[in-house]
Amino acid sequence: MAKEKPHMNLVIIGHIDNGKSTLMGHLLIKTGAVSDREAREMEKMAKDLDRESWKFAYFMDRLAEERKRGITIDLAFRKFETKNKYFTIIDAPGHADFVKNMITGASQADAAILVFSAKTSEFAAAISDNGQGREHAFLAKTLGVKKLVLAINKMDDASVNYAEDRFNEVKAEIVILLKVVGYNTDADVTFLPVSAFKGDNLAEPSENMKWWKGPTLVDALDSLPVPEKPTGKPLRIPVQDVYKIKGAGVVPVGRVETGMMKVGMQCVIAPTNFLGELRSIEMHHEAMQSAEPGDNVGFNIRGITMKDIFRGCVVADAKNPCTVIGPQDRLTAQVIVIWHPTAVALGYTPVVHSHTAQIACKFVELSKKLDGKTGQVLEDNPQFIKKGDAAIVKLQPIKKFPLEKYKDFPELGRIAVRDMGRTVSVGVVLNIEKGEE
Amino acid sequence: MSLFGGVNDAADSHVIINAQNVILKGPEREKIMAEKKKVKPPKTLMGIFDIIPEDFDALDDLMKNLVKPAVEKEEGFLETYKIEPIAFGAKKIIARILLKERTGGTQPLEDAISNLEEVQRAECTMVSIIS
Repeated sequence: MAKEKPHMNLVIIGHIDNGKSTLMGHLLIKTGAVSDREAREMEKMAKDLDRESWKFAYFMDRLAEERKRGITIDLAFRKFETKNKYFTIIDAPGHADFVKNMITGASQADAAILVFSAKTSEFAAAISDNGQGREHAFLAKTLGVKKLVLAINKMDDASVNYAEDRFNEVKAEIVILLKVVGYNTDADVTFLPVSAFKGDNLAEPSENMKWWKGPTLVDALDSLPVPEKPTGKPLRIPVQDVYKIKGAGVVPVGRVETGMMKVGMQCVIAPTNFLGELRSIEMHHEAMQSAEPGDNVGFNIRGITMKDIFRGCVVADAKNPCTVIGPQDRLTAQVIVIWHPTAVALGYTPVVHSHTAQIACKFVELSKKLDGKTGQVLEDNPQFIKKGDAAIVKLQPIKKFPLEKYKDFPELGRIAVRDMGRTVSVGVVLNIEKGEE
Repeated sequence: MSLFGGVNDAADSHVIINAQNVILKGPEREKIMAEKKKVKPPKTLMGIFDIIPEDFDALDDLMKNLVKPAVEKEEGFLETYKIEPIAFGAKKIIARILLKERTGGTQPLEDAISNLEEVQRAECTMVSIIS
């Protein structure tokens, strides 16, 4: 894999049976990431795995075989490259509980391929009130995915027959949906017709769709803009872990989300308010004078103790500290309820996860229930919200923790609400109201 | 609600449309949903887990003797791992673990590894369907 090319994380999403797995498989073959032989092996593996028993032995053998052939086992996911970029592609699990990994995980998706089938019945299902198209688009937006490649799939189906009219019809309906969700469909979304099964318009222009003058899927991915590193913003480093190391003292570790970290700068830790000079930075055991967004670093702050910094704290420039929210404050969030056995009502106190912090928060106001299809307010101050509802709510944390508004720092303004080991809701922080101390 | 084209309990909200483009409701829909659930086994996923040990010595032993059995007890499979230096002598383990798509997500596995005395914390940073 050519390391000099810019890298992007891609997530592939779409309604069940709209062909996302086929699209992903064929894309990997077309870009040379997977050979035909490997594709056949993967197919065999899939068949083995679909049997009832859990085939550990199969993987053991596979691993042993890889070692025998001297292949380095890469810890990364499926990767493929285009002319100007290389991509890691994530086929996101359908189960709601895995959304947590996308909110708190280190690997944020830079762009998404959203797949819709052009087949009448499948498209109707995907775009219907209960369909997943809207949910996926909303979640992609909530998860911070700025750019979408919208693949209108199954153009080869007999009912579609590669027709330009059908493509335009489907596109028009999706445009309405995406505008409601908040995407600028001219600037942020690339629409294209494909057949994942036959390979039409994946890497080469399709002979069956000569009317299409736009890009192939590979071209569309290749032209995605690489997200700029937010180096100009104030420094924010959510602390992942803190070590006490002989000779080095207290060493916090975290990923620089925004801003620049420089040796000698004055840092302030939220929420403990500890202030100190940054003495040193290391990455992969190498000393550095500065670190930028995306760098996973360990560092040392003069005079700091284990009480002053812990997982969930945020390191910031003393001149521009991170917002801290406490029990006297309220955070307003726009959320979507993705699972709850009954309903969410006032007083409910689950755990809110944001960046590396986890804190119990009480629902103190259900301000508005929203129509996810139109964005209109359905009800003011509803008594409860349930699975599938979008809403604006106010939450009160039981103790202080660092948090930012989504519009200022998207990296620190996303939340996942968890309870009973499951994800109840995901959302973004719209506002933070400070109360009296 | 299924978030990303999922299965099982996530499939309850699917709209079923027959060949005549009529949305099915009631027992007819339930029957098709039950069949769909029956024939689709849970998907196999690959998760990348960060494992932060309490101590930075004998990490291979930790993985072989403690992490691997803990993962298998939770019906996962530790396929491979690497030890990565972080800073100032601190290290973490990045493990590739295969698991089934199920209720609770990666949490049961994260808990199983984190609950080991020799482990400070375990977190799945990335998860993707492999079959």
